Amino acid sequence: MAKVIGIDLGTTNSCVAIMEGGDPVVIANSEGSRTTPSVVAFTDSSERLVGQIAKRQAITNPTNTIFAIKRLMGRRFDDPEVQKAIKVLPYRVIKNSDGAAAVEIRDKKYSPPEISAFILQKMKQTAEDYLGEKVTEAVITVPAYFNDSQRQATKDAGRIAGLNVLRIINEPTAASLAYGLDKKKDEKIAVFDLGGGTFDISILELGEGVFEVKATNGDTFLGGEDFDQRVIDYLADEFRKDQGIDLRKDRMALQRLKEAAEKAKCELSTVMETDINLPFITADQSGPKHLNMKVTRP
Amino acid sequence: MEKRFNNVDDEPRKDISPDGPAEKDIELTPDQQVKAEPMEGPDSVIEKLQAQVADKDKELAELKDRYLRTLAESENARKRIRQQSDETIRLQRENLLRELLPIVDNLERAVEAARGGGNGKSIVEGIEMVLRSMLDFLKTHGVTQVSSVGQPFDPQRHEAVDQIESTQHPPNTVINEFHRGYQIGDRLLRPARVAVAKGTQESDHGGNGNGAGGDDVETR
Repeated sequence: MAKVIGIDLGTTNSCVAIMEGGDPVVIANSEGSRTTPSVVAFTDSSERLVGQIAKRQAITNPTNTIFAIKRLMGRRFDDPEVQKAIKVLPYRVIKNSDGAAAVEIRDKKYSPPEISAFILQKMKQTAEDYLGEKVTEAVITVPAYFNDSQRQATKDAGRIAGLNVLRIINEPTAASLAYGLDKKKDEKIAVFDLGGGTFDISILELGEGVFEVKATNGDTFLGGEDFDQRVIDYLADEFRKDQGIDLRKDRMALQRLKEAAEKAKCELSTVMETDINLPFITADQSGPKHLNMKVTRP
Repeated sequence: MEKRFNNVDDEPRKDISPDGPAEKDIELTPDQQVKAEPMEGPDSVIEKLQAQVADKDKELAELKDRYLRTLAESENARKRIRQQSDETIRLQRENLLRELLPIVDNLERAVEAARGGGNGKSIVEGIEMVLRSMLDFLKTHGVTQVSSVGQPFDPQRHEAVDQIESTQHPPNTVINEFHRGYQIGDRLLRPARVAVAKGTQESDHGGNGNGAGGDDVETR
């Protein structure tokens, strides 16, 4: 009996799950991770990379590594969101013959659904590896504010990936269902979705088992990565005050700072203060320097 | 009237599932019951019985088949669970080892800095930080240090490798630690290796002077 997979096709990361004995189970990919970066890259040797491996080579291949393709899905090139995104995307975004936004990689044009299909294919493969059988049907979630064109683009991506998309569901609705809110009384629900790159709030109204989206808002350019950046800047500024060196200028030090900042951010969800411990972070004529600071929750 | 065909029940039972129909009495439905009526000759009785046996054989075969399938399913489920369990162990092991790598990185940086000569104080500071990160790592995984010096010797947590006469310390107290002991949760991960005080000859009561923990006791 073929299983239907559920896919969260996110701006920064994607996730796939199945129902097993009445419970949802998130499936880890071949690298052992429960989420897969929504990144697709095309290498010099015409190899296509998807997921964590694509992310790992991004710095060496910025114009051919596509991330955040969701920002272009189902949108026209002239859409203000697309124009805003182009300012921060290192890969080439072009206008298709029908006016839609597309990407150009090594002289080849790809529509956003085609790029998303590569990601969906990886999620499909992840599920098939776990289940030991082929998967052909899926349910994919989209932001509540996605219009018809964006929803259709998502369905197309599924089709290109070899999936029969049974339903396109709103992300906040899926979240509400996951928390069993449809079993409670009829009520208004606020769903905050703070992801890697975007922040969405949706107001849903549950009535007679049906979720209706009443309103949406948010900041499409605010996410976890921005919080990390604030912590990085705080640490680097304090270190510069103390030692006179700007760690952001050193690639290796910056990378260690980034990892430590993200880790500290996550830890501060459960503890009031955490230690940043980075010995031998840099050196000058007087010898090696270390960064050892406490970061607290206010 | 008596049932003349009860001896069907007495036939040796084959490998039927214990929950199978063998437990049930083989009941004769009204039209199967044979009455001593002149119309029914012995041949029709035999035919009826043969039909019953054929039915029972069919039922038996079906149940046997279902039983074997259930066995196979349960074996497959067991295999899957074992595989998943192996997979989980492998993943946990890899995650743990991965967490240790930054500590190795920092020790390599410490070595490099030390080789470059120069600021010893700064290098020591750095190494202390590495030590702290290692202890934090252990703490995250539920590993804590066991206290020993000054405590009464407790073989549950301490391993005695030496005994030292002492008038200053009460006998059987730990006076020196050669290496630290560690606990993981409530279980002992590694006992502390210690030296234990023993009373001097004068304060040794009892026995023939070869009291508890005398020279011929092996402490290993």
